[in-house]
Amino acid sequence: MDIDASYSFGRRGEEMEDVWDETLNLETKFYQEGYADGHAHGQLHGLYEGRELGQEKAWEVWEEVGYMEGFALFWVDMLAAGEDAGKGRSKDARAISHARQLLALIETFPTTNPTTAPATSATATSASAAPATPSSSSDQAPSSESAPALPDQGDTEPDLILLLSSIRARYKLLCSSLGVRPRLLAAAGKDGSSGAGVENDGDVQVVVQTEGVVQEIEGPMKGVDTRMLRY
Amino acid sequence: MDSDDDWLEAGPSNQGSSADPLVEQEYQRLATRYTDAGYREGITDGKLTTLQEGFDSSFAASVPPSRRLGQVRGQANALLAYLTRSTPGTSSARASTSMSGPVYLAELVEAARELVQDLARVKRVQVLSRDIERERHEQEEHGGEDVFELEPTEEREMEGLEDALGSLGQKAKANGSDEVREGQLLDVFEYRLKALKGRLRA
Repeated sequence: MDIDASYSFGRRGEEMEDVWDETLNLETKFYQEGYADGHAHGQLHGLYEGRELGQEKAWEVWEEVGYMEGFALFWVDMLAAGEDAGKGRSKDARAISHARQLLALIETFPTTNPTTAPATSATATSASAAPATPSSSSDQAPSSESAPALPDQGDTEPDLILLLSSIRARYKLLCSSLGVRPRLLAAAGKDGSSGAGVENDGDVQVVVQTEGVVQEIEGPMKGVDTRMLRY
Repeated sequence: MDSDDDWLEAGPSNQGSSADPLVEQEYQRLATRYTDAGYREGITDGKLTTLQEGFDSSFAASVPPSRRLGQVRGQANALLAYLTRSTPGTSSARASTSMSGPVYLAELVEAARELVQDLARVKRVQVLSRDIERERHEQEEHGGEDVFELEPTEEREMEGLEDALGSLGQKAKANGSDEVREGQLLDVFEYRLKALKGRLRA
């Protein structure tokens, strides 16, 4: 009887545990199902929102750079004729030299986000980690994304800011040697009377950098559903 | 005694079984709560895995058209500046082009100014390609609502304002079906610029 009693008691305990396990499992199961659905949906939104941001930034940076490029191209075209004919004046010669230097600088300005390669590999790893448990893949995604991008971060980011500001400076030199008022957009960005303008110029470059995007969005992203990130 | 029994047996006889509506209710509550929590975390993590990829690919694709429009704008503005440089004798520019008089110059200036103004009205969304995939997704999953609303910034507010003002002026363009955009739009402007430059040299 004693044995029987303890046996039945043991059984009861196991049953109780099973019930608890099942409840816990149920919670985990629901969570994982929700996570998988959300992750799939989030991947789509990340893609769309990334694209939108990419368009915004490409437009912001390259419309301005393109403008300065077109401006320089036109003047090289116009003034070179006079230069060849030998009737170029010293002022025109200076303008041409500014314009050519401006064009050379623009040639070196990157047309793609410099961290493209690491970013794609990060996407690949997190995609392969998708079937893993939610906690492990959520740990993995941000770290794998930020780690490989780090090395070139230090080199390229200041270079881009520097390059853009030297392009703008050269453009202004060209303008003043021509006696032409520089475009308002560039003028506002450079000697910006408002602090916002200056700040904004910095932002442009930060966001072109992968790290800038990933780091800066992380804060506002937390717990954010479909709202977009600020940077 | 009866009332005590009533109290004890207040629930239906299947209390605690799977057919108990309370159990069902609790199950649903649990399901909703944990599924939602998982979904919320999942969507955030999922976003992070593709955000960069989307940014990089669209950045690379958007640079050439943005640059082209910028170039046309820059050239058109330079052309206008060239034609209207006020300082007399600053350059051989006007003298060297064989213009047949002030009337011709005025016409040219007018055409250049018009081009500059038309170019200034061009908006980003007209030049860069639409995200058809995203538009379809918005239609199908979110009832056509713009769920991707970005954090408002000064620039975005300006764009929105311009859109609103623009649509007041020209309702015909609202359906956008016959709107000239992207590569075609750039072609048109580049053609107009080229024609102007040709007239300058003539």
